[in-house]
Amino acid sequence: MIRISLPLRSCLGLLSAALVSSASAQLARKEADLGNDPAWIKKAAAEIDKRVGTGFQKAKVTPVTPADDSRWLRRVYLDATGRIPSYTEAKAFLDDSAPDKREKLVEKLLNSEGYVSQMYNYFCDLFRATSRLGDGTRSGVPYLRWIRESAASNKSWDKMTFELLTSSGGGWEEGKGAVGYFERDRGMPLDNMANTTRIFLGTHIECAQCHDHPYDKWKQTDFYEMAAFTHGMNTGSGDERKKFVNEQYNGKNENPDAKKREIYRWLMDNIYDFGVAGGGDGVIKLPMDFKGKGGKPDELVKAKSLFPGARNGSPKPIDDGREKFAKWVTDPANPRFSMLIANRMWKRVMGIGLFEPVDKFIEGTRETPGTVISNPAVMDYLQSILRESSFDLKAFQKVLFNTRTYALGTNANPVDPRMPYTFHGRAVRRMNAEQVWDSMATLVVPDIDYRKGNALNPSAVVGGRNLGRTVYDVYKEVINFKPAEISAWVDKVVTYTPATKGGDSMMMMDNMMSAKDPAAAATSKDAARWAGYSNDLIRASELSAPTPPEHFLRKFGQSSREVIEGGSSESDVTQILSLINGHVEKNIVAESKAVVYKAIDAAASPEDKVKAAFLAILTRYPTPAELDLLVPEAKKGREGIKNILYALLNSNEFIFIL
Amino acid sequence: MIPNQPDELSRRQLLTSLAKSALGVSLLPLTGPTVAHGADFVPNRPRAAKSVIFLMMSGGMSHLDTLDVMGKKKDVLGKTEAIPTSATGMQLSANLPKTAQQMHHIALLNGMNTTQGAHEQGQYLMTRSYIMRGTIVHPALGSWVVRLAGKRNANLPGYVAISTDPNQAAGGFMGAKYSGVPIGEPGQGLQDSMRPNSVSEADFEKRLKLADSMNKQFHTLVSNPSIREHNNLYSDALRLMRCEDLKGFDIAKEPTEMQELYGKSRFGQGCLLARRLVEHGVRFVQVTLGGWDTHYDNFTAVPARAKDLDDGLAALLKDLHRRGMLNDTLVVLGTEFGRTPEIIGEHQDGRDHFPQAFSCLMAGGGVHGGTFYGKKDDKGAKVVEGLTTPQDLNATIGYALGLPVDQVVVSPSGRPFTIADKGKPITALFS
Repeated sequence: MIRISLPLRSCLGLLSAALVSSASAQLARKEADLGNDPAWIKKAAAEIDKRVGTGFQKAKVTPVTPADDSRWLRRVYLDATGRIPSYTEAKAFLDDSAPDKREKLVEKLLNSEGYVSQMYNYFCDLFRATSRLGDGTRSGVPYLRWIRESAASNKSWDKMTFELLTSSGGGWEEGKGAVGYFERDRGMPLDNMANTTRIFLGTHIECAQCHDHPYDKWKQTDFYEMAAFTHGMNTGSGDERKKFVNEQYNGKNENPDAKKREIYRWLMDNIYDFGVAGGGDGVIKLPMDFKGKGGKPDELVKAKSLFPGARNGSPKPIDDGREKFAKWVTDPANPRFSMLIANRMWKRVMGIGLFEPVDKFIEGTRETPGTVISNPAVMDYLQSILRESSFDLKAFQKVLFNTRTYALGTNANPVDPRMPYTFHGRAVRRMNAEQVWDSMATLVVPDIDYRKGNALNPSAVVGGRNLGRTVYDVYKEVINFKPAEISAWVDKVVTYTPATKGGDSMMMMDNMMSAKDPAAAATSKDAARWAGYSNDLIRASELSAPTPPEHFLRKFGQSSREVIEGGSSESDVTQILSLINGHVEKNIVAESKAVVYKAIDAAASPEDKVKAAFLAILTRYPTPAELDLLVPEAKKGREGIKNILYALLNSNEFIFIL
Repeated sequence: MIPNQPDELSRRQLLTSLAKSALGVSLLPLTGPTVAHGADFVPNRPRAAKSVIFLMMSGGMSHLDTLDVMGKKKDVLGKTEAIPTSATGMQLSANLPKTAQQMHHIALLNGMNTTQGAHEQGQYLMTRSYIMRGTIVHPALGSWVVRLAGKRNANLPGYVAISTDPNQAAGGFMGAKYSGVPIGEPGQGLQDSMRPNSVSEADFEKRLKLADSMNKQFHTLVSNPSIREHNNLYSDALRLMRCEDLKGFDIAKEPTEMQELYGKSRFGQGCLLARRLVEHGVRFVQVTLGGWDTHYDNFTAVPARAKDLDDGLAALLKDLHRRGMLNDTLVVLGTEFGRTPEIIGEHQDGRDHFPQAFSCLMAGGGVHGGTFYGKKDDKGAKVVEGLTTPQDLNATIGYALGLPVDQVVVSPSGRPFTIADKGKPITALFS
């Protein structure tokens, strides 16, 4: 098949050769800790700046004057930790006169709990991870915990990908949370494969699910050859147990005790019918309504990757199709894999991708030009440092945050992300939903990053009873039970009375903290500091997801997580209603315990109070004109201060990132 | 009071409230309305419908267990049975007994066919008339209708999306001002539409003035269309807060019998809210009912969903008819695709996605009731007559409203689009 564009063909030749030697070694190789080598970071950042600079010369553009400390500070907090800096954090940075204070701050932020929170949100949007999976009967908590743990431990991108694609085991089996990736799409393995291709390889083949692709080169057979790798997965966990438990709550022989039926149902959804087994058949039948070229309905096709590299030569089912596939996807020599994640991370830090949309890369042909990479020299280099650092995403972002490109001032002109961009100034954009919510919460709740919610709580609550242990523990106990043991267990649980009230959740949460954040362990135990603050004011990453459609987060565009990166930053009238009548007044301005008032109350003069409010909300000091406008208001006392807070929170400057 | 002329009524009310409220006078001149008022819109055909209520069955509604049972073989119907309806010679599934009694208002579209077999792509095509592309977001149907016909009531949103994923109601390249205003829980109405009690009117005005002064300075530094658009929405929000018609969002104002008639489900209450909104002059209302993705245990899952649909849809048609609103209001039921005639035993009698053939319906808005358009074979597997694409369906909605369905709107990126792409309206449905 000669469908591969000329410039890529040489890479792909390399790829297939490299696969043989590197596949088995790739996950076991030693992780070089380049992310903690300041010289490497500095060198890589300088090289990026050089290549971006060459782009300025070529395009004959002049870069915007670098951002001042205030603007850079607000931007880096939002990009690296997903919220604005608190008054204290902003003041500490602006008062610091050390020449290397920016490098130090990047280091601090990337090792903070805030970083984990925003990466977690990002991965959840990418992997469509929700608190309830599929039809809602199964829990997404173990999957979310796996994602959280991956973000907290800075698991390398190739390792994360490999674990997702080869995941198997029980949904609540310790360490197997990645099975949520497939459980999420139970009964829809084809949609799942289309999403996999889009997330990791930047190719949209979902159209080819039903017919040959009308605009891209993909044929329906290509789709099924890919789908063959993962075909044949099932929910595992033993048919004998499943059958027995099912009979207990379903059908004419069901258990007469409704409470017991509820417990059986729980066992089915959480233990015996929750998880993934089957390594991937490597073969699949074409559908009955197949209408593409190069195949017939019901014909058996063998697994073959979209680009050369992986295939199953045998018409007989194999048991490691998924592993073959995952090795091919994550191979460092697979140019798509490194390009996609390099571009995604670049976009996260720089605001716009080197090509957009980030999940759609179309190869050029003789007839069509294909996707344009705005600066190929930068893209090449990004891929090389990603591979060099073994797909260490934190190290990669650290490099980007340390560039002068990142520190440029704001490009006030509108930037169309679909057009190649030179990155000669930062494009303006609205905060995403999580950033708005988390930034507002920062103004109210002290140490917001450490305040935990219940969304990742693994406690076993069965038939309304908290068993005082985790579902992981229950899984271990009951997974190999024989039917008689299952019914004995149910008899025991139905009469169980909790000895003490829960309280185990906070302890569990400690383990989820970023190991590198020294403040984490100490702070999380000190729950007293949050007494009296609304339980709902926790970071978006601590709430069950997605939030209901009427929640502030959804109004501001939080993804419903049905589609990949489904969030939106478009403004609409209901958001304005929340800003003028809802959340801002009810939960921020009217909250007398809000930390923002502490900073303002500590300031003596009305002028200093206005300055404190500006620093806390807009991360900068007011101009003389702004002081003239607001000092009279500050002189009126608390009611005037409230008016100032409300006005600043409703200013366009608050919600747009410069 | 002339209840059926919301345009007139609300304009007068707006002027009155403006004159009364110093706040309104001082704040509203920030900008004019961001979406054109439709008072000048003249439909291109007589007796055109004025509003649309679009009921979206999300997940892919099984046609064989709901709308298309007539002349179907027993083995494809499975446990589903056919019942007679109020229209002579027509049948519906026994899962929809109340709707069957309203069949004389309904035209079934049994020749539906789509090219999209995945949910996201299928819903996208159904509600936007275009195939999902990575390069552009096409506006939702409601956005198109408001763009072409304008609002009926200048104070209220033109497009309201109830229990609908906000992404599905997005204005796309037309911008957020054309997006459907989302309502999560119908009973809660429009959230945050009243000034909070803790803030006096004077302080409220003071605060917005201060913010406005800040913004004016900010705009001299950074002038950007998305910032300006965000800022302009403040005028829309204030206008909405001040208008009498805001009570259109409040279903608590409906008598208990009425709330019960529609069924207590979120969907039923959503249909009731849709009727109130249309009464107050909202142009396009979408109500979504999810859970139709019945890969597993189809014959338990479908009746459960169908109950909510049946209560809501039948009540809506009955109520609109009783109020004399049915001729002005087009009710449409859409879904992204159908489900396989094959019943999949190993999935506890499930049905999979089936884009080749499915069913939708239209009622009111000048549509002949008690009829059907399009036909499938006796397995419900293939359209044999009157093949109808999602684009045709949307063209028909445009036709019912008297819209110029071939009017091109150019996206900011310079590409031409129309409300229904190349779809052709089914004019045979109308008198």
